[in-house]
Amino acid sequence: MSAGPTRRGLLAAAIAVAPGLFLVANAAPRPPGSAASARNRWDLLIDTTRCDAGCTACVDACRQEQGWGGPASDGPWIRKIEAIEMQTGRSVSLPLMCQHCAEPPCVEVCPTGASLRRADGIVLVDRHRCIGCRYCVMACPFAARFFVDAEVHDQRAATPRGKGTAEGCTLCVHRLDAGRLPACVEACAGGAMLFGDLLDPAAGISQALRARASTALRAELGLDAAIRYQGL
Amino acid sequence: MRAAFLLVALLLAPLAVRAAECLAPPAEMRRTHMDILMHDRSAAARDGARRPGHGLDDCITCHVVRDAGGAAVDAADPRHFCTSCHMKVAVSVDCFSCHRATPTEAAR
Repeated sequence: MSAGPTRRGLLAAAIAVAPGLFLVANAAPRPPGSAASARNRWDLLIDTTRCDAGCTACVDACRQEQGWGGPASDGPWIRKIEAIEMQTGRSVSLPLMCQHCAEPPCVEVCPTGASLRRADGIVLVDRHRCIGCRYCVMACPFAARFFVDAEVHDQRAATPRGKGTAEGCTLCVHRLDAGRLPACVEACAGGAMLFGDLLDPAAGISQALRARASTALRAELGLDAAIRYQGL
Repeated sequence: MRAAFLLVALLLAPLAVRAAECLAPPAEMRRTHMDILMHDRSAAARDGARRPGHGLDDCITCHVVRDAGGAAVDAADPRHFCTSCHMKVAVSVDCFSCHRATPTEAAR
């Protein structure tokens, strides 16, 4: 718990020193052909107090955008869960997906380098290298990695998926690279999802994180997840 | 004004790519398409560096083969642009176990 915010604070301070260099419009699409940059760290802040237990707009939007959800064995890239505090019985509804850890266990265990963390913090599977060993599926503490065990047809053009490979939330890289928001964020009716660049101190998400307490799930693991939650 | 011009340019960019010639003359493409694809696939999948017009998606959209009914034929069909050649030279192509082999019918 203590390591995360301190690190974030340091990063923000480092950027404040050289604002002219880094304060580019983060929401703008990168120039064509350019690689993801470590000058961004994409973060998603989820306000559970605004997340309605009966709403699955984010899940539906993800399924529609990414094309999973055919066979029953298709993992839900994003799912709604109910977290209950045992002592008090207080119940909170929240969406759970790949937490895009800065120290991702899935990347650590991958024997082929298929599981990777992009420069801007997005954790992905390079299916070209995936051999389907499922180590990452087992390593993920959030059960957010899945294995495709059936032939896939009619995939989305931007989301190749195939039998024998692992997959999970991509934070909609294809949309992000084109300067658009992830599908779940766009679909969230309650305004519970705030997306932005953590390394931009002026971004809405940086301000929101500074203003109110938030936490990562399983913060005790020290994975420095990019998805943070408020109201837990 | 400038923003409007940029927006129009961005909207027209895919059209320009589609109308353009292939990345190289056919004789060269026949010999080097696998290298181009191999190079670009790692850059795109791992670094997010996508060169406009260089995606497999762009190949598929331009080289689509349609049946008598106007529907795009899938990779299993011997008339499919990639399959027609790869069958002849007996080189299996595994792109389409994950990638779609037909254009998305909605305008891209």
